[in-house]
Amino acid sequence: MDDRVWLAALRATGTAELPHDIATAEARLAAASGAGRQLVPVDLPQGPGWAMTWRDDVAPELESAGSPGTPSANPVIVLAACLRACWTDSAAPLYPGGETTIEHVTQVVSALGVVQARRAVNRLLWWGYLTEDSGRGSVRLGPRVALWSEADIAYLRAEYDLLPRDRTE
Amino acid sequence: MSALFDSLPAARRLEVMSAVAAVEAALHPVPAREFRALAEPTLRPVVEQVLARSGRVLIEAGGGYLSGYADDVSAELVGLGIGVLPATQRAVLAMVLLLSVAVPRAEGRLALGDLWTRSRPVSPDMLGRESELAPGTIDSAMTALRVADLVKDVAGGVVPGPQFRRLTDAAVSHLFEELILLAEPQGDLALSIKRLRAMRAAGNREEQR
Repeated sequence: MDDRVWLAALRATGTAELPHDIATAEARLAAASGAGRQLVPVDLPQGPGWAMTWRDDVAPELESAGSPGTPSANPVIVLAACLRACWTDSAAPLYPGGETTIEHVTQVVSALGVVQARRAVNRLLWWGYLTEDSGRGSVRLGPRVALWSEADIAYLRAEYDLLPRDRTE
Repeated sequence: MSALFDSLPAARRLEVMSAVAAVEAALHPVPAREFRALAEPTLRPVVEQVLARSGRVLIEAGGGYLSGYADDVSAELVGLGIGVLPATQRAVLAMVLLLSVAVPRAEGRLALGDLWTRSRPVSPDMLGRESELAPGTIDSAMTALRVADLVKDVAGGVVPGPQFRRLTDAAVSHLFEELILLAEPQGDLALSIKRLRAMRAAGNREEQR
């Protein structure tokens, strides 16, 4: 598969397995950079992989023209609850973190007035912020979370106590 | 191909990359005035060249620009099973397109330029009446299509979502041909499409010899 088709496939699927040889890996990294992207290591169920994000110098800024838009409140609240449930030790790395159940997250966010939490979970799964163990009703943080900068994670770490959690625990 | 991009000063290269990021990430068309690389006719081809590196093309839409998959690349991805919707989602989306776009277009009430902005809303009830799919199947397919921005809710039902503005002209033509084949497979237009496709396939085989 040539680089442009490989990059198009990565856009469509969100993640790719690491190539088996270093020469191909280097070629993919260079091709991504030429297209304004960088490849970030992520953990996939089948092993180590890559997710693709913008190079730091070209990333679209939120609320500028051409930004992807701001999500509505419910997915943000549900993601916050998932972060808290999957990232139980704020001193540890955020990603890949542990897993939680959709039932638990629904319970946490319903106390904050969020109904139809499953719909928000579906959006987060589609966007790649969560991944799901199909059939088990559990979710983990997705590859898009692995793309967050150290500065973003430091901010989250500072505000860790504000992330929604089960108050009965 | 990249010589043009590489010959630009660093500041211009950054402007090109910013425009690429905008048209790739935006939900709605990006006005050309917002990015110098889109507004300037000499820089726009460079944006197209950078997009091409990842199998994408620049698309004019709604007075601005978006990006989409190049036709040959989307065909290759489909061949690999990448980005293909499950059958029930495809069926529901086909019904939405048929009722909201193809029928009003055939009746002369929807201009080609207004396909994705003035389409007729389809109510879930209408979908249930016009298809053999169970209501639960339609609901779950609709949820997935909504999340993927392939349909969107408006007053009176759903219409095709913002992703349709990322289709190339060739992809839109192909889509309409498929809808004609679906709606009236033995009609004159459908038979003409089948003849044209057979001729094209024969031409391709001839070229490969």
